Amino acid sequence: MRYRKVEAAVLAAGLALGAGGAGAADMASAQMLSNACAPCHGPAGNSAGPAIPGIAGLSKNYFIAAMLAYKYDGDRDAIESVVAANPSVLEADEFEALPRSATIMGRIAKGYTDAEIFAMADVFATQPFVPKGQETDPALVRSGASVHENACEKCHEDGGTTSVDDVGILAGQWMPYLRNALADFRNGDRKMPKKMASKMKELNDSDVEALLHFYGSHQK
Amino acid sequence: MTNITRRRFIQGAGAASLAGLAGLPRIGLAANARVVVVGGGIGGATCARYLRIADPSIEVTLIEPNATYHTCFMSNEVIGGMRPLDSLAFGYDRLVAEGVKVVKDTVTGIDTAARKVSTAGGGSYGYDRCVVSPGIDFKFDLIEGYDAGVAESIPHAWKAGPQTAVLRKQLEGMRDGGTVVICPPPNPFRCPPGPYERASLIAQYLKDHKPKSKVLILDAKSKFSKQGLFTQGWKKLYGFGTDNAMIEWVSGNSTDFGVSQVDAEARSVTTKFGDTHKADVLNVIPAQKAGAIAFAAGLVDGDWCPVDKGTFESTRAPGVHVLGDASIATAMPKSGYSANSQAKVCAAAIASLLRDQQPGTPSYVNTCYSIVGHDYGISVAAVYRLGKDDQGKPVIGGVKGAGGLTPGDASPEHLRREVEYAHSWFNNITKDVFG
Repeated sequence: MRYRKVEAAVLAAGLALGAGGAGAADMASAQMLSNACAPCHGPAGNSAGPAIPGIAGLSKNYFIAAMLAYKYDGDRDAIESVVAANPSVLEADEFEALPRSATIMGRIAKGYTDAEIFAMADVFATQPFVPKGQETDPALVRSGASVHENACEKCHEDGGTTSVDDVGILAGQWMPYLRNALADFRNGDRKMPKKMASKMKELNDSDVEALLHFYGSHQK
Repeated sequence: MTNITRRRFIQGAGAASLAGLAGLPRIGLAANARVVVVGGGIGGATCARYLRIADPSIEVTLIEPNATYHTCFMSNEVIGGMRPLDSLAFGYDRLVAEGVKVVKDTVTGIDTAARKVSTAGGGSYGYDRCVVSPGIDFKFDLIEGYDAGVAESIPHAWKAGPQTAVLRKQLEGMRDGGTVVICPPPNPFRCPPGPYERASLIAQYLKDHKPKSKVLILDAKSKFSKQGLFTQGWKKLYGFGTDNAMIEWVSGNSTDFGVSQVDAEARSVTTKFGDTHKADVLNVIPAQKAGAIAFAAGLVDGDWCPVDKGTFESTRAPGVHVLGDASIATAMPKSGYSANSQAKVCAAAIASLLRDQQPGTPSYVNTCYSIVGHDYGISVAAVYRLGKDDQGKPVIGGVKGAGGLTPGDASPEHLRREVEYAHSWFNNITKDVFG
């Protein structure tokens, strides 16, 4: 019954180990890697903490774009070379990783190899996103619905419920998280695709507040 | 059956109907495997759940003397009056619903040769693998006049629960103009930034309600976790370093590295240098060691438990795994997140070992938030890998170029969000551990 211990590959000397040191054969399983995200992002990627987004159900490209943006501090050249080196994972003409503001994710994302990020993307893409039950103002929900229809629905289809076109899931996402994210978009700390930037410019503070209530109201 | 065929067999079994397996021999399968988990804290409860997730056929028994666990993390907010003690309380109902057998009892011995755990209640539990996650115990004998009895009125509050409430009550009862004395322990100990977060949140409470009061830290160390960020926050919020400072830190260099004596009656403490400080509220956090069962079962080398860094199997007792604060995990601090992360690595390793398979490559994370005041949070994070040191010894090391501290020039908005993230982290980790 005893297994024979096979020595793990030597990664590096000393206590500081290089992120790129492990070969593919020694890579931790996708489940092992993604389990370590749960204390912040919730079990199976569904967050119980209002300031931290649920990451279940994000498309593979969306997850990878976010993690690479954090890992490389939004460095376009670095990210483009990752895309070029992984044609079987990422299609250059369909992939865009725009810079993101970060408090802590940048520090954590730097701890993973690109291959590990790809593996975690597969896990979270297959986990169902569970909308949060949140208190919302019915009048704001109604006006938010029309703001969404006019400004957002074209890319965030089906009322913002899906990540299929590599967009973030908005409906049922935590409102405190969305509030922070929208503030970052609006003040330039987080970059937007051109189309989104031009739509965002048309929205005023009350439009944004209404949008939050519309997304927060989604419950199924 | 060779390892390979067995492995393929098990992989196939996951996908195929279980009905076809009925007539096959059970040798080498995990079907009957029994794992006993000693201790229902963060490490133990996480491990019990993730063992069931890794392989629902494993019979998992969790033995814990208390019906309710109070998380130590966020207990400084209770002490500072920012949240009720109840909000830290978690039970085991969800674990029971998921098929973990939860036994309310105290483990008194582990017969590592016969692979049996015995309890104060007279129970005996055989195991194929045992997980010991006992947390910490205190070295009371190093401080004259301080012991478990005295700690009921001069609390350490370094295990959350009744003592957390006592310390809070004493702060509420303290006169404005009083002095709170905190005596942090020497390394290594549970939650390295904890004493300094405690000083911060007590100072926040005093600033809001008893502004003539102050916090005096008599340290056993000459430096401490997140020191630069804490002192920066203390300067900004509590006048640190000025004549009106609400927090004063006395380095271990000036206490001769700790306190040697407590006078419970006078509520005073004497440093090893011989300086006596009178306190209105006194919080003595003694030096620490692995929980008692680790000593009883012979799992310690010195104060803590040496383990295989990839499986957390004890190097002193085959078949026994030690998690969390009690284990020696190289670069990983003794924290709740560490215990949770180690428990998942351990659960996956045990599931493999029970199938006679080689455990997979581990991956570990720690993130630790500290709240310095209203809208002022800081953090340290790391991603860890199994590697080797210069001598070729296995170590858990932080990935180079990753992790680290909140930047010193973080904006007020960044610091505010770190508080939000700390609270959200609390919701998520407790959900992950207790369901």
